[in-house]
Amino acid sequence: MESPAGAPNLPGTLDLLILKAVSLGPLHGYGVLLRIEQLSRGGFLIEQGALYPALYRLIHQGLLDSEWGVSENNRRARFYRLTAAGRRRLRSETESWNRVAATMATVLAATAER
Amino acid sequence: MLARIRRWLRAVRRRQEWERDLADELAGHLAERADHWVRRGLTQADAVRRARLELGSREHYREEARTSSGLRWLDEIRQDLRYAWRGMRRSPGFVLVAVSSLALGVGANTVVLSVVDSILFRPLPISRPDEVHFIQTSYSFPSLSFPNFRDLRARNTTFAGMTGFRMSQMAVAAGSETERVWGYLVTGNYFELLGVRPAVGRFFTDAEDQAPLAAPWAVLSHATWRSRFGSDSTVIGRAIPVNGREYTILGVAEPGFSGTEIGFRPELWVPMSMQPEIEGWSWLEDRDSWNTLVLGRLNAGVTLDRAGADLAAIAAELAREFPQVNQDLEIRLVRPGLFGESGRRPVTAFAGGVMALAALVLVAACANLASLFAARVVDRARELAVRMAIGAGKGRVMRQLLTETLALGVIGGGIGWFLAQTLVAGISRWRPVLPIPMQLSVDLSWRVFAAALAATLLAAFGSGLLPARLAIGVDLNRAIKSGTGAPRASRRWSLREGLLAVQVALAAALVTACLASIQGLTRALAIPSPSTDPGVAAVKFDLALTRMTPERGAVFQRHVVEAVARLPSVDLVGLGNSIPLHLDQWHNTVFPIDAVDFGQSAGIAANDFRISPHYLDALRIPLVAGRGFTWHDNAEAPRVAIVNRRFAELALKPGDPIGQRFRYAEKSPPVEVVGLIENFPLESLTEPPRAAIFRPLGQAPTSGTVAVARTTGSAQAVAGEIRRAIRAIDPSVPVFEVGAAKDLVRMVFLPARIATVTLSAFGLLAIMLAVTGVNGMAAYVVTQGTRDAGIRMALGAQPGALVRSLFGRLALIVGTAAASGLVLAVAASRLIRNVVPQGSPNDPMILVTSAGAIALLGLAAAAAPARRAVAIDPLSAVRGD
Repeated sequence: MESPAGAPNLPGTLDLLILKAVSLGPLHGYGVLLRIEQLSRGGFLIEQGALYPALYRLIHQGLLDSEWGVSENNRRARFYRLTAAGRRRLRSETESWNRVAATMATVLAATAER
Repeated sequence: MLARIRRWLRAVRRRQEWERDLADELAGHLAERADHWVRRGLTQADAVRRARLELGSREHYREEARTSSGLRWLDEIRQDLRYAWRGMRRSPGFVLVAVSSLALGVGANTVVLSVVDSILFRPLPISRPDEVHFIQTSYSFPSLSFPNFRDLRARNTTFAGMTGFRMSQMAVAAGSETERVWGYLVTGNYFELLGVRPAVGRFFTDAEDQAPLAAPWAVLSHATWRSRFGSDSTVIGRAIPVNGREYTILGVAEPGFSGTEIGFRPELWVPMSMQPEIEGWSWLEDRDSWNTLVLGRLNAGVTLDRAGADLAAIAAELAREFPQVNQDLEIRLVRPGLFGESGRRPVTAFAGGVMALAALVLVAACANLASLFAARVVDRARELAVRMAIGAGKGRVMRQLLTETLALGVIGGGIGWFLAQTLVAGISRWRPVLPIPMQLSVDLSWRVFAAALAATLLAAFGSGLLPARLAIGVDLNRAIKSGTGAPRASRRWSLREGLLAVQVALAAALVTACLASIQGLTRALAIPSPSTDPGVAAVKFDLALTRMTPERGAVFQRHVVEAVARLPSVDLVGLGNSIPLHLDQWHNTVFPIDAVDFGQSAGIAANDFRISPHYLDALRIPLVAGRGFTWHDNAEAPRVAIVNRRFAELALKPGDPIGQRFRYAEKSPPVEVVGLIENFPLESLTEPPRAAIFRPLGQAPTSGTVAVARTTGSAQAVAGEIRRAIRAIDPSVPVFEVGAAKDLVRMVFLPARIATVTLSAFGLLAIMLAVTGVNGMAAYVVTQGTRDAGIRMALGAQPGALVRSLFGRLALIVGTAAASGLVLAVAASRLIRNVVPQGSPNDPMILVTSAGAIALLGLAAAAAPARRAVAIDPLSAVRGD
């Protein structure tokens, strides 16, 4: 099996992944981690400690909202949900990411002219 | 944005909850993850360990989470404060010196500038004060005569209005006794023009102040209403007896308003048309009685220049119309509040000098603080280096130093504010023992305080941070090893040396100024004046404040002389209109016997005394030539006068003055000089000799009277006996200013006393600052030189040589700085002389004394560190710590 990579080393990537994960339904912190692993089919392994500062940053920026609830294993857990601003941000970030990815692909596909 | 701030505020407010949630969340995460590993077949213990390892340092991520939520810097400030507090606790000496330098430097300047502000710069408490100007004549007095005022008021086109006023004594009956109080005579438009409001009742109006002696109305000052009438509003409409007539109280002025001269607190205001009764003689129709002070309010939009031109034109007209009295009359507009320029000019000079000296104290405090901080950073170079080595950022270290500076600033500034507030409140309550009601109301100036504090902190900060930057720049390894930022030590050294030199020089200058002021006061007190003779009792009474006719008044005065002469404790008694150096001085203009020009400016101004027989003897004023007066020198006898030497020089021909003659006016009978006396100060201690004439009471009557009595007993007690004797003759005569003659003339010594107190305080502050500075430097030198000294001692150096080598440079700095301080004082002697006219820093005695004082203080301050240097144990010194 291909060994899993860390999150791509680009600024804002982790934030974008978190927003995407949470956009599919409220999650607690550990759930965000699992969801990203699952969505990337095990391709991305998030450094666990880095997750929480990112979550708090997103809350501070008003992109996420949180609420205490009970996890599927009956533990008290904080659930994160996307705010309206978070949803807008996810949309714009996705667009720009796709643009960058497409451009990168074009650039990298080029072959030497002869 | 707003929502973000709200969230942040919530996090700050509910900090504990926030932390607990974070901890819970991380714990939950670990539990979930451990479950995950248990499901994969690990034991519970292994699973938990694995989960922990994966999550990493919880503390680290918590810290980051805090940063993400904007809570981090709050923590850091708290840390910085705690750190500053620990640092201060570790070096209480540093804190004590820094805080007291700050508090005293800032406090002293705040007090001085607040007082100056309240005297010179604060506008009068009237509406739109910038429109109101004082109308000043070019003559030696600030006032106008009432007819001139009336013409000025009627003819000008640039003023919305003009009001005339005058401070006057009034006799107010209180029970069986009559008391002398000070009030204002004012034209009826006074209150309306100034825009002052009544606290109770109403003011009199211009219409009510027209017919002569038809307006017995009084307006009380708020303070008088409170103290004499218990703030009782039913006093409105009640009558009070003033000078033997009933005056109806119309109203009470608003609390902040105490007349239009700063520091003078009148008790009541009375319409100007009552002047003849209030003062006992009328000058309202006399164009040559210059008794009216005038304020004018400019019309909206009129410039000072235009108003000045308007007044100049009217002055020229008046000079043409009345050439005898108004010759060369010029009229100018000046700031009100201090008798026009007559008061403002000397007060400004005095205040300027005091402010400059206070600023020197502030500079000395700044220098002290600066060198303290510079030293502290050097002392802590190793500590700073260690902190940086273990990962503290440069910014963070700088911020810690800043926090410490600010914390000291808050403490020192707070204490300074408290000191200043206390002092200013004391000054505002202070009523000097004077025959006039003087009291200042000083507001502590926030702006001054803030500026002084900011200046000091900036100095501390600048001198703390600059070296801090250098310290941070040093090689960490070396700093940790040697304990100091060695490579740049020499540069910091010179900064500190410079600061120390500044402190010592300023201390030398301020000590010199302080000694000069003490010398000035001593000299002032020693100036020979008849009025300061301790064996003279003086009692004032005023017949103008009763309704006695002049004839009855003269009889009454004769009765007083007889009654006082009968007192067993009295050796000699005389009466006069005033005594030398008293505030109340009369002036007259005389002309040489062969004069042809009898215009105002051609005459010779002379102080005018009217005296009974034995007045000169009672004051021990010796006759140089001629004779004294007797009761036979009365209205029927030929006109005679006794004059002083200055008068003889100015108004008489050279040669024997006795028998020569002069005139008061073109048509008045000639007066023959029958006696000659020496000059002595008449109005101030520093004046050049003034001309004076003394005339017999029988030929020049006076209603305002001073009884002077020579006694071998206590002048104070005798004055009391005299008062009782006068009361026994007629209790309705107000008797005031009762005491030793020297107490009645206290006013002339007041500036010298204020100067001495102020400059002594400055000198003391500067000395304290310099001593701490020298002491700190000496201690620093010893610390720096310890290892070196240890080696030299181990090699057999004598303690004396050691001390010399350690302190040679320090002594040189202190010596040079002290010398330049003395030079500074001498250079500033004109400034200092504005404050203390009788003292001068140019006196070699003073220079030697203050140089000696500084040298002694330097020695004392360096003594303890020197002892420590000699006691150095060579072994431990060489090893270091």
